[in-house]
Amino acid sequence: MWTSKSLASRLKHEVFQTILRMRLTGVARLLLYPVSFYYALHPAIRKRYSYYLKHRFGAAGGLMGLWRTARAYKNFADVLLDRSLLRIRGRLPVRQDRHTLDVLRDILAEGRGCLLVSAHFGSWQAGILGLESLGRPIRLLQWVDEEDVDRHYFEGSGQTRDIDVINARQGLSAVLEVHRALKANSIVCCMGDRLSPNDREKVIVPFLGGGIVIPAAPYVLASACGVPVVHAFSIRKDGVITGLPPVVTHVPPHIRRNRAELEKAARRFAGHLEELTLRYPYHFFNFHDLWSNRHDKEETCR
Amino acid sequence: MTYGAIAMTKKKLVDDLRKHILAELPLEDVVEDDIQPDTLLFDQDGLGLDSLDAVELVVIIEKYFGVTITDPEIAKSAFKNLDVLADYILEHRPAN
Repeated sequence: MWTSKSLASRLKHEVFQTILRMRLTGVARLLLYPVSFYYALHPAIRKRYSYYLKHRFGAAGGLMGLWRTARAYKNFADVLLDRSLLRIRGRLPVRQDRHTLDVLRDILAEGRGCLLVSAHFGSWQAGILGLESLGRPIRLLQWVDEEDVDRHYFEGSGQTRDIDVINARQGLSAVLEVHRALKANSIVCCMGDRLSPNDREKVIVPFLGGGIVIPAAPYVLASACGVPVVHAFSIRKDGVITGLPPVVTHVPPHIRRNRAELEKAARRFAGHLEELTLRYPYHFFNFHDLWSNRHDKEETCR
Repeated sequence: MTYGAIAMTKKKLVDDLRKHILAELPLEDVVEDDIQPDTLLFDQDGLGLDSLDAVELVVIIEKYFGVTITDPEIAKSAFKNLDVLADYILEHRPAN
């Protein structure tokens, strides 16, 4: 199971927390360089990132692999530091893409809500903060494990009073909650690049030269609830979390009875994500081997 | 309404539900006879529907019968089989 604490001990977390409480954010950011490099030296950590590097750059070993891993981990560490900053200060500077806000405003004006699909890319959670100006409730559909620190991302922050987590672990309760939230014209956010343990419906899509298995749930939920899917991403750029232009996909009703449409929607998401990894190669933070799991692929390729 | 009229209404409701489930859920190799009034909807020994099917079922019930189900506990009991679901709809559907 992934948690940010699997990267660093509690002591190291405390050191950074103390520095941030002293309002020495610049010092903390500088410290991330040696710390990220140190972690990149660990073979197990390099291996985690090698799956992506191999598909993105064609090779993942040697000094270049070490350098690339360290760069990505530095960016990832910045994202974790942002989370700590949010908890300590209650706010984070987020510059949401104006076009994204306009698109979402138009969708929400129809009163049906929307399903926002992101990925382990850039500042995926902090980017959600930039949507609060829309004045609609935001629900985060995610698989919450007991030890998963992700659920704490928005906790204790005065900037985030309208963001609640729907625990995908709760199965039927979770999907009904999604339906209720969309009916109430809320924004429901979820991740489109990783399967949850209870994802039965899957789609295989091309991504960086191979096939990966992603959940079909976002498109099925959007189809059932009659709402559009919006791919939305944000990255940390020039010290500010910045939203990137969105892609809107309208899915037809009963999409599970139309496998071609389901695959089309999922491919569109994967294509968008691939474009972003080509443009911002060191902001992809899915550390799983997405290209493995052949059994799943065979099942899905029906 | 007489007992006979209620029974007719419920039978028609069960038939309608079956028709919508067959038309709108992605059920492979399932025919009308496979969905009896007492067939368990979410059990592997029955239809084996999953939580995504549940959302589609909620939408069907709302769209065609005007009954809204939001409480997961109610959904769990009402979605037992078509017989129970029809009773739930008859009890909660808005008066014309």
